[in-house]
Amino acid sequence: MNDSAVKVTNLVKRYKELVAVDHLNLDIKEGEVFGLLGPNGSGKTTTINCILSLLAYDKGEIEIFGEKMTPDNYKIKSQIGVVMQNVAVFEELTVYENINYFCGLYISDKALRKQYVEEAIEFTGLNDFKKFYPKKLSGGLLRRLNIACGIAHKPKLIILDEPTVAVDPQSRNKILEGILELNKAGATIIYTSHYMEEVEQICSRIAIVDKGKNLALGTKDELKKLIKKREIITIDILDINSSDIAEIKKLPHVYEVSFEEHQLSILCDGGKHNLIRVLDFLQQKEYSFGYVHSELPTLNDVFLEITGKELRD
Amino acid sequence: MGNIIITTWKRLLRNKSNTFWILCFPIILGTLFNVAFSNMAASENMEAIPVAVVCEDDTYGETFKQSAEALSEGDDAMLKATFCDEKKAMELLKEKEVTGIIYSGKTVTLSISANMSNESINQSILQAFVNEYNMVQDTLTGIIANHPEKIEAVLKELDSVSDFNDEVSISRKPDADPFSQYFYNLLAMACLYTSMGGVLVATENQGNLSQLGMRKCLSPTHKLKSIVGELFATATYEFVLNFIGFVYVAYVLKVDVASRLPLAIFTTFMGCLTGVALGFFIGCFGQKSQDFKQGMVFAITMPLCFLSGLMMGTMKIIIQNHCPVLNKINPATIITDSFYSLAMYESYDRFIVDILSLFSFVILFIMAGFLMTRRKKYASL
Repeated sequence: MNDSAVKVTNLVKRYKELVAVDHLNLDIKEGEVFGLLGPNGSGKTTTINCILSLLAYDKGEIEIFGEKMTPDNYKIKSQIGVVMQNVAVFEELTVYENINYFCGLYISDKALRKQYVEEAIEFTGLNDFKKFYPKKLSGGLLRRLNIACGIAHKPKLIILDEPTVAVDPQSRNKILEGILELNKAGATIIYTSHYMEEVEQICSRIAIVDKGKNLALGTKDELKKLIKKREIITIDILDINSSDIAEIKKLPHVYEVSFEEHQLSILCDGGKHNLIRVLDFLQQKEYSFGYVHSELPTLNDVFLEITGKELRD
Repeated sequence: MGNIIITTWKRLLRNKSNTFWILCFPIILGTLFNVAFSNMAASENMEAIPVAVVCEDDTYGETFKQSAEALSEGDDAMLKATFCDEKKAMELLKEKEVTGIIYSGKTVTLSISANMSNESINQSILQAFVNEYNMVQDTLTGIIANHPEKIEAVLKELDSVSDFNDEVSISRKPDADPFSQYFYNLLAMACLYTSMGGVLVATENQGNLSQLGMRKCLSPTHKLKSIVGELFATATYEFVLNFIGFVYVAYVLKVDVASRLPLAIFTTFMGCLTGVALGFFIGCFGQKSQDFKQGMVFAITMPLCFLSGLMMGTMKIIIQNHCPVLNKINPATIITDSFYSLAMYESYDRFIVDILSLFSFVILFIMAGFLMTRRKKYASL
C-alpha cells in the first residue's frame, strides 16, 4: 500500500449556519488519480481550499505527505501545484512570462526555471502561443495556460479544481491526456469535477460528495457495485401487452420493467446474459423489435441512487 | 525577489491606462495652471499688501515693527502696514481694508479672513513672510543663546534692516513666484495618485480578494517578500513617471522646483513611496473589490490635496490657524511643504522634518497594511 499523499480526518467547515463540509474523511494515496465528484455547491472546492490551508476550518486535521498542512509550511507548499477553477493569469504578461513568473515563485534557479517553463509549454501544447497575451487566447488555450502556470514547477501533488469548465472537447481531451501523463510521471492528482465522464475516464479512485459529506468512496467498479442497478436494457418495440411485461419482470435479475413511447426499458440487478434472455423471450412471443441497447450503470446512476437526484441538478 | 520586481515593472509598463494618467496628469494640469497663472500675473498689479499690525509684546513687537516699517517704505514696498490695536485691526479686516492682521508677540502670527478668497495670493505672501520672519527670529535667538560671542555680528545683521525689503534675506528667493505653491501642490497630487498602484499590490496579494492573490498565497514565496518586491517595483516605476512630470514642470514650465535638484528629486521619490504605501494601506482594508478600493483612494486623496491648497492657495494657512495638526498629518501638505522648503529656505530643518514625516508615514502604512494582510487563513474566499 502506498503512503498517504493527503489525509483528511473529520473535516468540518461552516459558513454561519451552513455546513459546507460535514465530517469529511479522505485518504488519498501517493501516485493515484483521485476524483472528487459532486454537483455544484457540494463542497468540493471548499474541501480543496481547506486542504491547501487557504480556508480556516472549524474542525478536523489535514496532513499532506505525512506532515500537518499549515499556511506557513513552505516545504509542503513547494511540492503542490494547483490549477484553480477560475483562470488566474496576468493580462499584461505573455504566455511565457506568466508561466515564468508563477514558476519563479517556486524555483529560484534561473536556468532550471527556464527548462521547466519550456517543458510546461511543450506539455500543454502552447509552443505556438508563447508570445501571445492571454486576451488573444481562446478559452481552451487559456485553460491550458492556467494549467501550465500551476504545474510548471513539477509538483509531487497536483490539485485540479474543475479545470475543464467551458472548454471545447478537443482541448478537454488534451487536458485529460495531460493529467494522465503527469500521473505517469509520478505526480499524485486530485481532480474535482461535476463531469462524471471525465472522472470515470481518468480517476483510479473516486469520492462522491454532496452537501459536504463523503457519500461513497472507491474505484468506479466498486462504486457501481454499491447500487442495485447493474444493467439497463432498452429495446424499441411497437407495442407489448401488460401480461408480457409482467412475464419479463419475472426473468432472473430483472427488477423493473417499463414501456413508454414504444420503448421498453428493463433494469437488472446483476447476473450475466440478461439481454439474451430478454431477446429470446420477445422472439418466442413473436414481437418484432428494432433498436436494442444494453448499458452498464454510470456514476450518475450511482449518484442518483445514493442521493435521489441527478449529478447535474 | 528579482523575478517579482522585473515582472511587476513589465506589467506596469504595459498598463497603458495607468502609465498615461500618471505621466500625463501633471503635464496637462501643469500646462493649464501655467496658462491660467500667466494671464493672472500679467493682469495683476503687484501693489503693497495692506496689513494691520498689532503689537502684543513690547520687546519683540518693536523689532517686528522696524521690519514691517522697512518693508512698507519705498516705491516697491511689499507691505502697507497699519499699526493699531486689535479692535481696530478686526474692523479693518471686516471692512476688507486690510488683507490680514499680523500679531507681533514672541512669535509672529497671521490672521486672515476666509471670506476674502480673491486675496488668496496676497494672503499666501503674508503667510510666507510671517513664516520666514519666525524662522529667522528663532535662528537668531538660538545664536544669541548658544553663541553670545557672535552677538555683534548678529546685531550687525539686524541693523541691516534697511536691506530687508530688497533682499528679503530670510528667503532664498526674493522674487519667488507666488503661484509656485500651486505647482508644488500639483506635484504632490501626482505623487499621491500612485496610491492606485498600492491598491493593486494589496488586492493581488490577498487570497480572498483575487484569484491571483490566491495563487500567490499557495506558493512557497513568503507574502512579505512578494509585497515588498511589488511595492518597491511600483514605487520606482511610478517615480520615473512622476520624475518626467517633475522635469516638465521645472524645465518647460520653469517653475522653481529644481534649484536643489537632488533633494527635489528625492522629495518626488518619497512622495511616490508615500502614495504607494497609502494605497497599499487602504487596499488592505476589508473584502471590497479592487475597483471600490481605488474609488476610495480617489475619495481620500482628493480632499487631502484640497486641504493642502491645490484648489485654494490659502487653505493651508486656514488649516494652520484652526487645526494645525491636520497639516502635520496630511501627506499632500507635507510633500507640498517639502518642495516649498527647498525653494524658500536656506536651512534644511523644515525639509528634514517633512521628509522624516513622509518616511514615518511610509513605514506606518506598510506595517499596518502587512499586519492586515498577513492573515494566514481566510474565513471565506
